[in-house]
Amino acid sequence: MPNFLDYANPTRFLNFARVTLPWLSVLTIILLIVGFYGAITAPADYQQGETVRIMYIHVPAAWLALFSYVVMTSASLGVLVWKHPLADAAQKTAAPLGAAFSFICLITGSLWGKPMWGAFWVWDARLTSMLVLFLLYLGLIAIRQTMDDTPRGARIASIMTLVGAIDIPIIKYSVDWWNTLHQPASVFRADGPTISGSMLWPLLIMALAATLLFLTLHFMAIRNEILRRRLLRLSQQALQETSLEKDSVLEATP
Amino acid sequence: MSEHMGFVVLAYTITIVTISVMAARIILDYRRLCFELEKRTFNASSNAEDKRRD
Repeated sequence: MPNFLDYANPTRFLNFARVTLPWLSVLTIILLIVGFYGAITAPADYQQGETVRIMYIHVPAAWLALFSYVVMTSASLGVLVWKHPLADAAQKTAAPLGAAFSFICLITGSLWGKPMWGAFWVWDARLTSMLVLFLLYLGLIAIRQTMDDTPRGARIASIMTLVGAIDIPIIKYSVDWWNTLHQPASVFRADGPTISGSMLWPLLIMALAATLLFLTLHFMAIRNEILRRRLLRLSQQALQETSLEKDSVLEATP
Repeated sequence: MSEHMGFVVLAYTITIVTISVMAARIILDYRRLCFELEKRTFNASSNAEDKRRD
């Protein structure tokens, strides 16, 4: 039986990215155009009016903020269990993307909240746990930047990611566990979505487009990380060779 | 036009700007890395050539 880890080495990933990235990029752009068209042309809500259009970017951004963290958690296991270099690159590069999606989620939610709730921010369980996720992302980026690319840095970031994963079920179930101002789930429910079909399809297309956008940017960022490490290795080799040459010249001098 | 259209436009603008900045950063970083790697590989091969000549 082939070991799936054999297929996850950096060189194979670079070949995989070279083939898939153009297709993935084109598909993402097409879906984003269709999704934006759907979001603009979808009917206004009878209560929220035109403000409902913010949902077409807020909801996918929230899903992607959580999805990025799930990707980071899986990659962290890869770092801690197998010490896999590709898992390390995946974990490191997903953090800025997750932070960006959390930021979009918080800002768009705030811009929806002002006209609907009368406030840009309330210390609601869902909003607060989402803010904690954004701060977690910033913390993980800071850890990576201060620890450089040492295995110790990767290990610490992975452990922190696993500890922070507790926030994911809290975000998901905060609307069920506590009495919140934020509405409960309206798409993924046991009794089916409560949204009208005319509003659901643009939302699902935007969610798919956002997922593909995340995958495209993540693959590109992992590719950059692999190249950056190769460059670093080449620089270190060149530095070693130069110092060896200097030593041999000094030894040869009478 | 809805009185809240300003919030909608602002939300879409911030989203597009954030994603564009993120994508541009990644693409420009890739170009820089490719250029640096090519330069480094070229230098390494020309150094090896010089050593052979010496």
